[in-house]
Amino acid sequence: MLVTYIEAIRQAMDEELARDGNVLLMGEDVGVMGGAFKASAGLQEKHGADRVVDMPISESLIVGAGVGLAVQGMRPILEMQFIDFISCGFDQIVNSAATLRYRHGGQTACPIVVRGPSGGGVHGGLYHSQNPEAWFCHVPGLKVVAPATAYDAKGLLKSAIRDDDPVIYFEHKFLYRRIKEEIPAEEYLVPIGKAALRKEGRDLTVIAYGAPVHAVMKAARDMATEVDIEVIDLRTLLPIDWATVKASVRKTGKVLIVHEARLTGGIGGEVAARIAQDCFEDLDGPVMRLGARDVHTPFAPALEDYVLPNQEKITEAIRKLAAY
Amino acid sequence: MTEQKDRDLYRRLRLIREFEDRISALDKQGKLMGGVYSGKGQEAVTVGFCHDLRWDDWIFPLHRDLGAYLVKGADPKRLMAQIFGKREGFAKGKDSYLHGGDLPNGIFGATSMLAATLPVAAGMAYKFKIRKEDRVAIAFFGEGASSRGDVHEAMNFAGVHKLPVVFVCENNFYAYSTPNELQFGVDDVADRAAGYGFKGEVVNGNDLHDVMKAAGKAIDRARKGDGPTLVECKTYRYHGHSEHDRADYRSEEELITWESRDPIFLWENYLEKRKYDIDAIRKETTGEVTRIVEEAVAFAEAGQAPEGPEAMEDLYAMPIETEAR
Amino acid sequence: MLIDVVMPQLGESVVEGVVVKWLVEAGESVAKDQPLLEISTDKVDAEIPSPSAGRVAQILVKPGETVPIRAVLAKLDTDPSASRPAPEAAPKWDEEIEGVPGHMARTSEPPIPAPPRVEPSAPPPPPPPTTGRIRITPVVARMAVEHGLDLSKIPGTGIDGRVTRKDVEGYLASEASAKEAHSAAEASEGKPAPKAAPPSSALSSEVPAKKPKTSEGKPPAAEGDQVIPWTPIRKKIAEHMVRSKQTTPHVHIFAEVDMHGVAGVRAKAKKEGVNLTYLPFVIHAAAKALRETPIMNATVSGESTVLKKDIHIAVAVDTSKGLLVPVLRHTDRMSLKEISAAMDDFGARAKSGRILPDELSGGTFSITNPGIKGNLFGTPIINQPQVGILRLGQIVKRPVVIDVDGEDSIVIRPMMYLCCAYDHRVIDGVAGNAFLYRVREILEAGDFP
Repeated sequence: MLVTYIEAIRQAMDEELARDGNVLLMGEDVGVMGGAFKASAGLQEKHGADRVVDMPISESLIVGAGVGLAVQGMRPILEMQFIDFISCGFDQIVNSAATLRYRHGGQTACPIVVRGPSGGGVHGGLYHSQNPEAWFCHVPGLKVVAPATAYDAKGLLKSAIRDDDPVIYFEHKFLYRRIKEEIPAEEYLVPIGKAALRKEGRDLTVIAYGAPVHAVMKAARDMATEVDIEVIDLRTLLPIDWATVKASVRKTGKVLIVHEARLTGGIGGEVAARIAQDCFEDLDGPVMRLGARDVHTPFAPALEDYVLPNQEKITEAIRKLAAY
Repeated sequence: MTEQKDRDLYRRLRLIREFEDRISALDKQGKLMGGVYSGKGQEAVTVGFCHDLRWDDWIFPLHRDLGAYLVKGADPKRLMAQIFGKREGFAKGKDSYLHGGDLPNGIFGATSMLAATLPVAAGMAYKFKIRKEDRVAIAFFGEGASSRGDVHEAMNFAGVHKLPVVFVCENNFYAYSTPNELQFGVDDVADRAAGYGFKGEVVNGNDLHDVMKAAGKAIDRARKGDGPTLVECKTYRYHGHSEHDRADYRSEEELITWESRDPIFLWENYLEKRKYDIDAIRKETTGEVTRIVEEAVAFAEAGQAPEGPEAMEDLYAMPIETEAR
Repeated sequence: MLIDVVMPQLGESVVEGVVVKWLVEAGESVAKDQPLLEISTDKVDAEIPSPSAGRVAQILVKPGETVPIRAVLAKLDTDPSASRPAPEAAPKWDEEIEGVPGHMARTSEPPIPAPPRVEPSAPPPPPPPTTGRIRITPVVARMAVEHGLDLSKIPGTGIDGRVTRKDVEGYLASEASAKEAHSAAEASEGKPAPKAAPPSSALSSEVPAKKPKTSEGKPPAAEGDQVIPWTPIRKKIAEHMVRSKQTTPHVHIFAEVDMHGVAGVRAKAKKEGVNLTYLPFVIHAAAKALRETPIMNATVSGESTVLKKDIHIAVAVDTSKGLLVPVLRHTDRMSLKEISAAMDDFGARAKSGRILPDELSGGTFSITNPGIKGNLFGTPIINQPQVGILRLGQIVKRPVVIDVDGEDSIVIRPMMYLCCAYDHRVIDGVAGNAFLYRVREILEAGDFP
């Protein structure tokens, strides 16, 4: 079945809504309109307005209400129209949802999924380009995922919906309609907490997630005659699959971490620190990172291109590390 | 009102309409990037609230209030350059549309987080109050944004301190696709003012006379230190939420009904009843607004695209070293 | 001129659109903004207005075809006669209209100045070149230990000649084929494998190519240079100074003291035939202030502060044998004249070298005075294990502004900068400042028994 990334997301929600009567979808314009990006097209017609709910512009309410539903055993999928607006629901995520089980001494679960379109490269400007995953990786009690392929988008979303903990699910809007992929017709799940080894190699490892995975894969193919690159797609950012990461570092001795989010305070720092600590004697070069420059994602094309990682910057970073 | 003012108000309505139509066309011609949020049909609200403001008053437009920029004194050329993401725009290309305010003209830029400007307006009004300045802050927001907690927090504070702020709710009946009845349980957003201890009023947002009357009273009240007012203007956007919204959620009939109450049409009707030479006025105004907008487009198209490293500017008062080498 | 009609991007995620139908034909003349075609994307259906007036020269995409955004849909031949209207007189728009203050905005002074454009800082200089060292990575360090390798023998191919993992692997492979020869070579040279570069060192470990020279042995000296070995007292001073600077965070504070009152007392004493220098006054004032600020009269012992019951001020004296610091026992019980006499006595005995070791120990606070060839001010080093020291600056006559009968007046006064250093481990600003302020107060009062 050939599907786009966004269609994979739609299918995951459709299938889970059909499978489990406790699953709901709540968000702004998700019902009648089928979502600003059409990620929920047709779902309200099929599953009813009680379960695919058009919400007021109230992100704090959307997450908070989700927590209330979750305590009652429901499994709400909570859509942020753009993930940038997750900051408006931040308190309910980090203080209400993430602590729910903990502050009740394990009496309850919090099976919510907060999902929405993240990422830049679409000239969206400051408030339609953000990659705020690192904020949430700093919060115990949450799980954070960021699929790069249609296959993972579907499988991870289904796993997230079935997970008993709050999962923040970062979709990349650049990928929504840009990738089309063959996925199985039958049901499958992608486990949370497991990275994917996208390509084997022996010279150096590039660790990425989300949209940059595709640019890294292209670099690995284009540079095949120069350097033999191993590519890891983290897929889950909390918890990170350290076993896969470390095995690769022990093999290649050189690591580059690439993400679209800003460098300072980003996931790459955590990964680099862990590698430096646990794999120091295996390193054949400094652990390198490539992320967005430490500035907001600007609107004008030249500015945005200057700020975000791109094919050229990835190639350059790989070349630098290979030569070290 | 004098004929001169009547005619000037007309020019303002027409300029906004021309500007909005031009942007929509440019977007479909593939000349713009990013979202375009047309306020076509809502012109009377921004003209009515901004026309008689002083230069040192402040306005807080939201994403659909491009008209407020044009009435409060923003240069149409720079506004167009802003929409094109050029260096000549208010944000120098760092963001587009109404995110970059024109501060020297008292126009505050909004974020995409709707109604996040309302607490800011309240804070500014608080300064006007404690420094005994007879200035006012006008905060625009849609009825969609009224569902956000920021609205409650701002209004509550404004009520506590009787701040010189006017909250202008533009109720165009849809938050993107979501109709009023799925947004709030009251009949009118203005009903909420009672909960904050100030007056709320509902006006026909397409009738410039109605808007100006309410605006005049509210601004006067604020300036005199008698506290805030919530004015809810019932109006309608002809386009979808953005240019890439089909707006399937509403009927053709509903759109036509509102088009028959068009604010410019109503004002032309009034000018005609006043026995002004409406044909001459229309002709003259058309030429004038067309020229202003064409010049703005030419200015924006000829404007400079910012270069990559400029992305790092304007982040801190003094640049900090963020990239270790 | 031929211009393009393109497929617009209507929506952030939209990557393609379908041409539904053309509303014009090739060869047809069109007005600016006249709808040319209908398109449909995942999110919206739209009519595309003509970007310019002209004639449709070419239609490139058939109805039903899907094309990516920005693809050229048609070519338009713009009609030169349909160019922009000639500019007319400036619009009335900007004119101020009486009674309409909204118009004032653009001609009035802006309420807020535009923020300045700040230039980004210059890039830092490149790191200094590294030579004479073998640069290796942690994995290479580990492999060197595991295989007993001499890294200086392995040519590095990495940046700046780094020996990389691949270089070591290549070396080991070539070694394996010539194992015996390698062992023999190593044995004859007798060089042990470097055990250096422990894994706990910095990320890019640096292994010295040769054993570094230690500081022992003869100091380098050219012909004509004079080598002066340190005397025991020099060594002791050196050791003491280094220790003090290393263990104590010094805070230096300064007070400007008007010595007019003191000068008056001196003049009066002179008439009585007693010669007093300024130093005893400062010692006397310090002793009094120490009594009032006990934390300044203390010593440090391990991680404890010992507030000393007795005040024994040590005064640095420059002698031919070096710096000596004799101690005035119970300084606070001594009169000005006793202090002066004791100092004279120390001075005389220091010259003949007859100061007893006991007289040099047990100080609880120090004072140092550069003397006649002094200078404006200096920052003294605390005499361990004490926690404070005072240093006198030169006394210079200066015009100063003082209050005379409620009027600001310029007068000539002997002024002195007094520096106090205190140990910030023990003393905070409040106590340190209070002490120095009090010393100044006493000196300026000029009230000496």
